[in-house]
Amino acid sequence: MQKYVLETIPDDNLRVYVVWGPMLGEEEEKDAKEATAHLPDPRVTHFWTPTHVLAEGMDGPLGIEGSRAWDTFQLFGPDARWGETPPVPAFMMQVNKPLPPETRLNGEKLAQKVREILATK
Amino acid sequence: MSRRTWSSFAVAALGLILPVWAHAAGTGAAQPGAEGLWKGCLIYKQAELEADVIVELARAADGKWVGTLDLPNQRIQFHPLSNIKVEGSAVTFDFNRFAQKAQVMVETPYTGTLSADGNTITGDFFEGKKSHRALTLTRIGAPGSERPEPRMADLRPLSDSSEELRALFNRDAGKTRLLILLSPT
Repeated sequence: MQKYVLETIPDDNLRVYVVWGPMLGEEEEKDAKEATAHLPDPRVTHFWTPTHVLAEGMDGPLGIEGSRAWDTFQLFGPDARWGETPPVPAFMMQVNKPLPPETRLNGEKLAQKVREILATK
Repeated sequence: MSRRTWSSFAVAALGLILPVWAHAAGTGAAQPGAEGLWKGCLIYKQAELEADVIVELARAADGKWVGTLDLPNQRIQFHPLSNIKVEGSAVTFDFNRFAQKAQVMVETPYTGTLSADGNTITGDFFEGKKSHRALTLTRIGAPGSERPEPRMADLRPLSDSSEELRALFNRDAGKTRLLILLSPT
């Protein structure tokens, strides 16, 4: 993320929200605090949740029912709004989810998609 | 001085290394050698799985080579290197560590070549003596110099309603937004 997206795309119209949580079960808030150092860009906002509520609530919209949405990278265009439920992303990538291999996280492909969406504004 | 925790090697080495390096710099004639702070990246799969590497190589006052290796993504810091040898432009060392999960010692020899200008070491990281991985190290400083300081950012609590995230997301409407859900370990 830092190398392929944030360092190559200085556009201030990009915002990144990282939700750190107990994907593996034993992670703690202090781990998340340390992990923020991997994404030091000021356009990034870091959150910590000790539960799976958000990850579980996103499985349907992402087409991964029954599989928590940890390790997902969801990209939204400028028109997206979060109403009663989170919006469906315009593009998403993931790690180890039961989805087509072309959605597997690739920094170069993700950066290209970010550029494309930024260009539509 | 870095606020990061220094290993006993690093603490001990600081007092020994700096005068040696300062003396070499003071002569003005020395071609940069393998001594230094180096940074590289192990690429397992381009843009998918990569790991930064920091290597520090130095000569102690008695002339012996000492060094450490960091793998920040794996929270490995100041791991001591062994069998460090520098002969001409040939640079070799071993990165050996005990894998707790598998309960085995994983031995990884590195063989590299120092460039003529002394700015890079191009080589092979023979991981676990099983798979060869290209690793080019680029000089980022002198031995004992301050390492890149990890700067931690603010961390906001997120409630189960995710209202804090929802509010920020909607406040940033009109921008391209990327939402990532990750484990910190």
